[in-house]
Amino acid sequence: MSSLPKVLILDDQQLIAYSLAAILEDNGFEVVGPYATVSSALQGIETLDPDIAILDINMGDGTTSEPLADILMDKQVPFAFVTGYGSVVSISSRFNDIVKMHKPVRTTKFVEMVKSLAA
Amino acid sequence: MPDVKKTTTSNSKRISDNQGDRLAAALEAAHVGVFEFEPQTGIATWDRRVGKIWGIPDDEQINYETVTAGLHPDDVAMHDAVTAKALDPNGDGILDMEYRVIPRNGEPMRWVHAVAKCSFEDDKPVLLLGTVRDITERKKLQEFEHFSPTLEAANIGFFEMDPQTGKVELSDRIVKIWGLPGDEEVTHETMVAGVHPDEVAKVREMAANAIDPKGTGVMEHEYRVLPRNGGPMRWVRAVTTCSFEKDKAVRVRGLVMDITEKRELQEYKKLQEYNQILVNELQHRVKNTLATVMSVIRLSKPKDNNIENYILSLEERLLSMSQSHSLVNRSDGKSIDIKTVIEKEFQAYVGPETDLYELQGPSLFIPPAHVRIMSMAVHELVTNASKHGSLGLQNKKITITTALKDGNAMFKWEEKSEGHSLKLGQPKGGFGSFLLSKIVAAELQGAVKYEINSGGLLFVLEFPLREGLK
Repeated sequence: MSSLPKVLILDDQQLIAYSLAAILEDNGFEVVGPYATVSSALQGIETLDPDIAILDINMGDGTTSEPLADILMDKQVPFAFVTGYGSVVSISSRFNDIVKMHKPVRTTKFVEMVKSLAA
Repeated sequence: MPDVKKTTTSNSKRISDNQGDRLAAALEAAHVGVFEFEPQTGIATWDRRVGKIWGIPDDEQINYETVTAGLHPDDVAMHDAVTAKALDPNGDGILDMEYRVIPRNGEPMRWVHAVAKCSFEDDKPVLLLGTVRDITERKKLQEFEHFSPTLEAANIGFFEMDPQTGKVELSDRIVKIWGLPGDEEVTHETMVAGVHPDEVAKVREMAANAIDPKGTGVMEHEYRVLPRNGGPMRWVRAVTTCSFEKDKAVRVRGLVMDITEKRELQEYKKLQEYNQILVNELQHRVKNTLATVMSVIRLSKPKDNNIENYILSLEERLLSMSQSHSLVNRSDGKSIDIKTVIEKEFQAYVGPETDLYELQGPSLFIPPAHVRIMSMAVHELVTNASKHGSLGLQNKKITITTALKDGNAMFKWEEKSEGHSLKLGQPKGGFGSFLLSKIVAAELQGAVKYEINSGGLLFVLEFPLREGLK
């Protein structure tokens, strides 16, 4: 990739999302978002064409980011789940092969993981 | 087979009820039918009550074979032998036996008790005269009682109640469960008196339904019993059936199982499951809180490398989070008034002085999930004010206004500081400015205006609020 890899971040807890964004920006990524809702993130995918995505699973109000994950799979955009404790067990088995990381994340591991998605 | 002449063309006749109304009434009440049999001719006669047991129409002529044809196959030999013995001139002429009848009209099998006396003339039997009583219900109860030791071993009690009088016969197990002395007369009311007060109404309702002829007569219910002798509370499961005659409840029979241990186990399991849910939820919240704290640590990284100041402001932020955490905990899942959030943040910083700011507008109730970010926002505003703005001057220059319009909440913070020397436009640099200008509105899915103008500082936050005013 010639320009900086663009990483979309989706997390309804924006404080955490911005912190993840700060980590990625410090490590040579461009951040798309961070978004707090699936619908705004969808727009981000359409208009800003991210190379990678980092998704929280539970979006509050009982909704999940699964619809967005399906679109990313279709578009073959590599992505990972960075999610709260307990959310992984509830996710559909079709995402078995997707990398999942629990919050809070260790910064070095997180950066490593995103780099491996970009590779 | 007794040695009798059989005939199929006998002049058998019914015994009419015209033997006197008083006798008829007595027979009716006792469920007793009357029969006659003339061994020499084979002629048999019976009244309509006996005919009903055999399921044979009143106008049909009968004989000895009619009688035996209705017997349970296993009882025919015994019936014939006992009859033959009663007809034996060398015997006492007494007949007394119980046997089963399978009614010809397809009605359920009946147990009957027949008693008769034979009269003899010239050493010959001439007339066997007797009564037949339907003892099916009593037989059933006897069979039931055969199970008594088994029921006892299974912690199952049984009872029978007369719905008309309310009188109840109990097995020992029930006497024990209800903690009764065992020698007193027990009625339906005695039983109800032992039921847990919270369940008396339900038990009465179900009992009333059970004896309603329009219903099925079956009742199944679990309830608590407080033994009269002060023993520990028991859980019981009662299953009762009611029999009806002529649209009238005549008998209620029931089984009562002591299910206390099963119930306690269920409750314990439920409690364990509930505990596990709580532990999981707690785990989730702790992890989430730590993730938030780590985010704050990273995002509030100081630009001036003053570690002591950084630690102090971080501690203040964590104390504020700790406080909003308590607020959410105490609210028990309910929404929290934004005014409470504001008051708490001011109190933490400057003590209980309420004249440092002016609060206008209605209470706005924000859901627990949004309380933390809102508290953080107010915390940053109060902190900034004490550092740079009006709080530091101890002046009443902060006006906070709340409003709710079309499901949108509005929170406005105006901090007047005339003649200030701050740079106009959106405040930049620190974590507070970042949180207020970007994060709060994004997380609440609202819109924000955050600026320093010539009059001072203005922060306006608007966000959708479904519950709003309560």
